[in-house]
Amino acid sequence: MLRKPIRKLHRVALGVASGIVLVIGYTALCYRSQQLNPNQTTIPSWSQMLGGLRSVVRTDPAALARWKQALANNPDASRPRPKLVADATATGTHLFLGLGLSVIGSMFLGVMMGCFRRVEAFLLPPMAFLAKIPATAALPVFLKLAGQGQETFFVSIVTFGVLPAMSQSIYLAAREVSDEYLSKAYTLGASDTAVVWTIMVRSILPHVMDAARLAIGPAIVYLIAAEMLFSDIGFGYRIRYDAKTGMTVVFPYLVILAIFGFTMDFSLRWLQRKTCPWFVPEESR
Amino acid sequence: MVAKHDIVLECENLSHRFGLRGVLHEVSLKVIRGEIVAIVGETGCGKSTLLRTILGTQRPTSGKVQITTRAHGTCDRTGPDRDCGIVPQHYCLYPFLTALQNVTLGLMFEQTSLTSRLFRRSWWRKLRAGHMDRAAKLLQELKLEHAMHLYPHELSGGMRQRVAIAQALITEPEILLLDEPFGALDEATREELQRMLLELYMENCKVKDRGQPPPYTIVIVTHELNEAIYVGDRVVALSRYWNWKERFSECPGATILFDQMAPVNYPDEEREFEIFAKQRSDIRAAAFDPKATRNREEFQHFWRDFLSGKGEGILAPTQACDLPNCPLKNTCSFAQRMARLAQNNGSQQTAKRLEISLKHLLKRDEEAIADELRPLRRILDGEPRIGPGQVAGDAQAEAHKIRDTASRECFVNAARDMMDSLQLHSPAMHREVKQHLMPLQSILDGSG
Repeated sequence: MLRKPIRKLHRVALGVASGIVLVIGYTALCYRSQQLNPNQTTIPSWSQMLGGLRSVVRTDPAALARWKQALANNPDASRPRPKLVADATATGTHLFLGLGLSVIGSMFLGVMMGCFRRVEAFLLPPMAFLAKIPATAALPVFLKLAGQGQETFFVSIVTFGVLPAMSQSIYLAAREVSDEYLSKAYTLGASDTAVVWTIMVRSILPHVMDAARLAIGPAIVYLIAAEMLFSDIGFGYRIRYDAKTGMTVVFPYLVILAIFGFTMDFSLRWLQRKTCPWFVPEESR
Repeated sequence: MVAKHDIVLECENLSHRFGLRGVLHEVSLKVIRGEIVAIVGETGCGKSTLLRTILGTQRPTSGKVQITTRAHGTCDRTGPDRDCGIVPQHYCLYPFLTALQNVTLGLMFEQTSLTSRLFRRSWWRKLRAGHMDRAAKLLQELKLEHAMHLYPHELSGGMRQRVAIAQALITEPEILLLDEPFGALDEATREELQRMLLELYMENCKVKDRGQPPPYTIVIVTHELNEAIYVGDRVVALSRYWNWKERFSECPGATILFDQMAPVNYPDEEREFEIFAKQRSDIRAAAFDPKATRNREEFQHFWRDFLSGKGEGILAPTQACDLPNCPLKNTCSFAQRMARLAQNNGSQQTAKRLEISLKHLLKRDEEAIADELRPLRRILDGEPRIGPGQVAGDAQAEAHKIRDTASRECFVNAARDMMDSLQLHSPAMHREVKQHLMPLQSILDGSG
């Protein structure tokens, strides 16, 4: 029978099994590659990857030596950080700022479009148009407007890359709020502002968080692409730079990026459960 | 005649079309404050459209809807506002608020603004506590004390509907609209909620007897004829089967074909739908028979009956007495009500039902009558002798005053009519009432 329910234990076991299959498959693949060419790093062994990871977790000894020399002239010179910390800080800051701004902006626009027909008629066509333009294709435009290497460039590419699509999904969630809820609020004495804030915003809050969760993937894509091309720090830059010499750092970085995305997704789900305990997602009904 | 301010809702020649299709045609309806008006009709005949028009979410193609507020201000409906509460079929509780928060929402909107809640935090906390207490009390009355902190998705259908009614009632709207409120509920829950509406109606009657405007005016849309007759004190039927062919080439919409009083029912009495058979068949004949093309006035007797004083409950005429501070006010109005009830014992009443109604009336008023006639009873029982002289003198004077009043036409005629009607229709009640009016017996017998 289709969609026959399975026990939770079986579900967990199958999930773990898929992970084990992946690890064994990769191990077999790199073992075979190592047999053919022990010096290759295109499919690095676990120990090679561990070495790569060590190199980004520890501070670069050359940079540390340069810093010590610089201390003689400038006692306030900042100590160089490990590459991973520097990259994670840069990418994380860009991502959080960009996503945060796009959530605020798209929530405002989405709610306004969902509440007021005039705003909807005015904003929906350009939003639909902009949502079809891939932000990666528009990188040169952002480059001209915000300037290469500037923080604003990376933040704006995430913000404007995600905002049109997110506004549309929030607008659709706002449209889904039943007219009965709104007219009932008016019969209880609510003003327009009270209806928007107390009824509309609270009704769509879990959907806003879902929209933000869905936007994490595209936001990371836009940011990594921008960092690859126009940055000298961050995950994108590091992946592009280290890929030239092998994959020993690239693979750990990809795993870290996935963990990064998972953490954000999990945090948003946790926040959704905490702030909207009433929300029962479709799949659990 | 009904005073202008007793009419809480007035729909005047309402017509509505969806494109070329006429839905409502010249619907005129006046609702008296405190009534429970049940609107029935076939599916798709425009009941919900009429309700939405009254609510203000649907603009009529022509005609207008007016609501008269308790402060005697009349205003045209231009949109939904707090004069009109609504409980739709699917509850419409806000899913992000608990039952208690849903009920307090109206009070919050009414008494605060977003800025006041944001910037006057301690004031808002105090006010909020008051709102919570009031809402908790209301939910307790509706037997929902155990469900106050549950979200709507954790409540059963009946509980949700009760919360929705509490939510609408807490802001004391001029009129409460119920759109097939019990349609999705099981029979037991439906019965429970119907009794709840009857309790509200009884409260209306009590408040009206105290000379105050009744608090709950309800318009309920239902497709259940029994439910309409049971909870409503008036049944209105909308139908497209009227004689429109005389003036139009195609049906211009549904209109009111039936508007009559329904018997007043009591929440603590057994539901007996068999006794509604006559009215049910009248409604079917008037509004549910596609072959019939009725004259619109044929089954509309409400105003004729009301103005001739045939109403019960909230529709009972108020006592006409020109004596200020009449000492027999309650006894007189009781007599009038009893007489009217017994005399009206016509088409819709069975002997058993009449007995139930009379007993209810007596039960409701016996304490007030006993209070009024106590001085007379004391004198008859020889009690004044045991009290101090002054008190005895006062009682004597009061007794004289009551005897004088009892001799007035406005009382003695009503009371005699009542006793005659009771003797004819319900001898048992005649004996019981006679006991209560013993102090006035000589006057009623004509020997006083």
